[in-house]
Amino acid sequence: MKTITKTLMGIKILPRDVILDVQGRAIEKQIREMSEFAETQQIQLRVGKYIEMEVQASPEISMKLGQEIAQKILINPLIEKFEIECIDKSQSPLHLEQKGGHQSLERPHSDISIYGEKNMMPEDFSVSKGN
Amino acid sequence: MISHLEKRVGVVRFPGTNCDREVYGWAEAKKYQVDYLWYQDRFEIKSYDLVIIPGGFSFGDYLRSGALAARSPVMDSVRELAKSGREVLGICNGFQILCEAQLLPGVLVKNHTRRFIDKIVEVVVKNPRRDYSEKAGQKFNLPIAHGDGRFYAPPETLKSIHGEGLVWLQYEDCPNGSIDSIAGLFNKEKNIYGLMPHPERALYSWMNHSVVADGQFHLCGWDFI
Repeated sequence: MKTITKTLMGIKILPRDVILDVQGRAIEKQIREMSEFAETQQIQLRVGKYIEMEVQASPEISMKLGQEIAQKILINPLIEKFEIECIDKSQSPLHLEQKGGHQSLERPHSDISIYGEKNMMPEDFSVSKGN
Repeated sequence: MISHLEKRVGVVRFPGTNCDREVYGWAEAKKYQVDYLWYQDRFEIKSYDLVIIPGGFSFGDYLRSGALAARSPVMDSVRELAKSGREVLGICNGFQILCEAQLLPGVLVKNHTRRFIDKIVEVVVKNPRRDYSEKAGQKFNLPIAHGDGRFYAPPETLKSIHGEGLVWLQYEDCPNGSIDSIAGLFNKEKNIYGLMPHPERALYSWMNHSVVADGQFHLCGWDFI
């Protein structure tokens, strides 16, 4: 029987340094304003995209195809740069849920229900019904 | 120059385009022959003198604004039409699509304010188009409505944009952080042009533009297409 070769790739896309990363700045600002991280003044982050792509081909052919697709559509070289990697499914943290449930996705502080499942909105934020 | 009655206009529609009817109405008001062009279809380039790519959120702005639309079948025909010397105009999302399709230089990225901006701004004509009534230095008040309107081009591209006089419109008071306040641009052959403001939303005086004063229904002071 012929087995089908599948290759899973990850494409990391980041804005180039010359581009003002507005999302990154907004998140940085929010982190600085959160009291737990008040001392963390020197934090810098950039926000990009991560694209997973599975191809029914050998890793060599898939990577070549991945490069071509990334350059032709997934990125705009004026503002973005990318890196492409082959993913070993059994090792990837993104695929743990397939094996062992949703543990990795659980919120670390489940007692602090910011937008908890029980009450969809905390009382302070509830919409006034008068208007 | 093609007379008004002879001009044949195509208005491209992508999923998510939302300014198509305004543009259509605008061409109709000028007594042009107008057709909609569907994004999945190629068209006969000889049938059109001008193709307009209207504003909106083509493909929901997924991936990057204009990125998916720029790679649609209709754009093959648009490219061919432009190559033949006929005109292509991109408004707002249309401008983003033309940049993504590399028919215009540069790219449009998120506003520096991180917000969607919706207001009326003053733009000035830096270099007028051939065969149109606008003059260098002329000012128009036009509505803008965009989240990704900040024009960016690398320094060497920017140098050639200025060197060859490809800047069409500039903001008087730049709302979005565009490099050199660029609001509209030509290609080198000056038959492809794109702009972020929405002139089709300043068609009549009740649409809140300031060019006409008498309050009557008529075309805006800018004889745009």
